Amino acid sequence: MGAKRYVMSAEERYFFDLNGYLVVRNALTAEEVAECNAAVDHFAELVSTRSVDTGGLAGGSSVLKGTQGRKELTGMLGWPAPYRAPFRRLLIHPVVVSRLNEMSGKGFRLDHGPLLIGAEAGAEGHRLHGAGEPFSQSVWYHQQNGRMYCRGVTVAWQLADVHKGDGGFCIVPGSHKTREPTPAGVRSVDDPMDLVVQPVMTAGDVLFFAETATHGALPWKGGHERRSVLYKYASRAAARATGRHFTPETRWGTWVRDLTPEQKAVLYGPGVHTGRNFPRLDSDGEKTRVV
Amino acid sequence: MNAKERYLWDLTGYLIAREVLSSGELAAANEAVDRQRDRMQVGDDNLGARDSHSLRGTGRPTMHGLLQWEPPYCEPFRQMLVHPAVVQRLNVMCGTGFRLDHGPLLISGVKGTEGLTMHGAGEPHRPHVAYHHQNGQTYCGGVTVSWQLADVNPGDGGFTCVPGSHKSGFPMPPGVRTCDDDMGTVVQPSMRAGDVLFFMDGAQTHGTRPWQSERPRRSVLYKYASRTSIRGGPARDLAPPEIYWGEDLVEGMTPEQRAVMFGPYSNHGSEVPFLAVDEHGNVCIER
Repeated sequence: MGAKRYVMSAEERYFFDLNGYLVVRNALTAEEVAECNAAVDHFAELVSTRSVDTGGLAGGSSVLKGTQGRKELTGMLGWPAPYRAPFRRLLIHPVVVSRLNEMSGKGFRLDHGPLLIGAEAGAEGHRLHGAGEPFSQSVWYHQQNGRMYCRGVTVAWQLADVHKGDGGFCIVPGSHKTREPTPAGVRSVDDPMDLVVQPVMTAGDVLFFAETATHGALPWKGGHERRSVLYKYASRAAARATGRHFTPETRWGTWVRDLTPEQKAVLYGPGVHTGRNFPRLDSDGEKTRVV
Repeated sequence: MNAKERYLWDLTGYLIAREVLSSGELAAANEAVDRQRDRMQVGDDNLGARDSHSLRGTGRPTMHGLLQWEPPYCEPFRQMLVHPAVVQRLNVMCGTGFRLDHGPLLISGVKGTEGLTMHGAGEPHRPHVAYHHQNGQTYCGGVTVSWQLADVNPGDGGFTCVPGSHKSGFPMPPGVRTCDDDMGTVVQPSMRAGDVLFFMDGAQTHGTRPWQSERPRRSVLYKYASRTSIRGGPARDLAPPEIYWGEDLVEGMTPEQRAVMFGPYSNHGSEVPFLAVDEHGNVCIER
C-alpha cells in the first residue's frame, strides 16, 4: 500500500462532506484481518449477547426486529499482549490518522471504544439515530472555508465481508446536514423513503461515518458472522463519554462538598453519557433549582 | 431570556443584564474582595498587550480561588455561580447541562493597567467555542459571565469586543487584534456595578482596553461551557492518558498511541502531541 493511501484525497473529502460517510478499501491485509479475528476468537468467552426481550435496539420497528440481539465485546486495548497489539495498531492506523486529521482536526482523540459488534443470521437491527436536526452539539458537523469540522467520527473496521443485503451498518446519506426532523418511518426503517443505504464492504475495509448522520443497523441476514470493530473518536475539545473524573468531587476536589446541589450541578465534567440522574438546572428568575 | 435579549445576543455576540445584584449583594462581594486583597497577584507589564502600542501599560491584577475562600467570603461568589439570571440565560445560550469550565477570576485594574490583545473570532472556526443558530435555537460552546463590581463608564477601558465577529468568515486584520487600527469595529460597553455581562468566549473577538479611570476596575469572570465542550480548568490536569483512562489500559502504548488517549480539553498550552503520517506511511508525532 503506497503512501498516497495515507492522504485524504479531494474525492474522499467530497464524498464525506456530501454523504457523511466514507469507506476506504483494503486498509488491512488478509493477514492483519486474520490476526484481529484470532484475538477475538481467543476471547470468545467474553462476548456478550444483547437481549431482545425488552424491545432491544430495534426500538419497536417491525423491519428491524430480530430473533436475537447483537453480540458485543469490549476492552481490546487493555487485553494482555499479544492480543491487544492489532487493536492498538488500528487505533492510530495511518489510514485513520490521515482521514481524522481532516475530518475532526489535529489533536483528535479516542472518546470511547473500541467495541466489537458481532451478529449471526436473525440478529436484530438498530433503530436509526442521529441527524443534523435537532442540532447536536457533541457531534456537530460544520464546513467553513474549505475545512471540515466533525466533532464525532466513528471508525468501523470490517473483520468480515458485508455483502449486498447482508444487513448491518446503514445510513441516510447527507443527513448530517439536514435541517428538518427525521420522519418516524425513516428512523424505524418501516418507511425508509428509499433513503437508507447499506454499504457493501469486504474484510479489511474501514468505514468512517459522522456520528451526526442518521445511521443504525439493518437485521443481519448474512450466512456468516458479522464482525465490525468500532472506535469512537472526537475532536480535541469535544466529549461524549464522561470519563473517570465526572463528579464534582473527582474533578474539582473535596472542597465542593460544602456546595448546594444547585452549585454542584454546574461542576460536573463534560460529556453526554451522563446517566438519567444527572442534575440539570432551571430558574424562574427568582430561584435556581435542580430539575 | 426574552426575545429582545435573544436578538441582541445572536446579533452582537454579547449581552448585558442590568441591575442584577442588589446594593447589599454588591457590598458583600466587594467586602469579600477587600478582605482577601492580599491574594491579589499582579502580572508582568505588557504580558497581555504583547506587540500592541495602544494596549500597553502596567501588569494586570487578578485573584483566583474565590469559590474556595473561607466563609462568609466565598458565599457571594457561590451565589453568582448559579444565579437565576445566569441559569436562565445559559440554558438558552449553551443549552441545559451547561457547566463551569474554569474560574471564577477577579480582574482588577488601576489607572494605567495594560489591555489585552483582541482574540477569538468566527474564523478560523473553533468547534469547542463556536456559535451556531438553527431553527430558532442558539448554541455557543463557551460563554463567559462577567459580574461587574464597579462602574465602567465610557472611556474607562476594560472589556471590549467586536460586535458580530462571532459570525465573521474572514480572518481578523492585525490592526484589529492589536487595536492599533481597529477600523472602528471595537466597542467598550458601559456598565454599572451590579450589571452582568455575557460574552461568547472564543467565538467572538474580544479583549481589554487599558484602564483609564482613577477608580479600580473590578470584574469577576466565570468561564462556562456547554455540556460537551471543554476549554481548560481541571480538564488540563486530568487529560494525561494514565489519569484519564487509567494506568492499566495505556500501559505499554507507544507515544503515538498515547497521543489519541489524552482526555478532552482545548490544548491551550500545546501539551497534547499531534499525529501526522510521513512520506513512508508511518504515523509519527508532528514536530
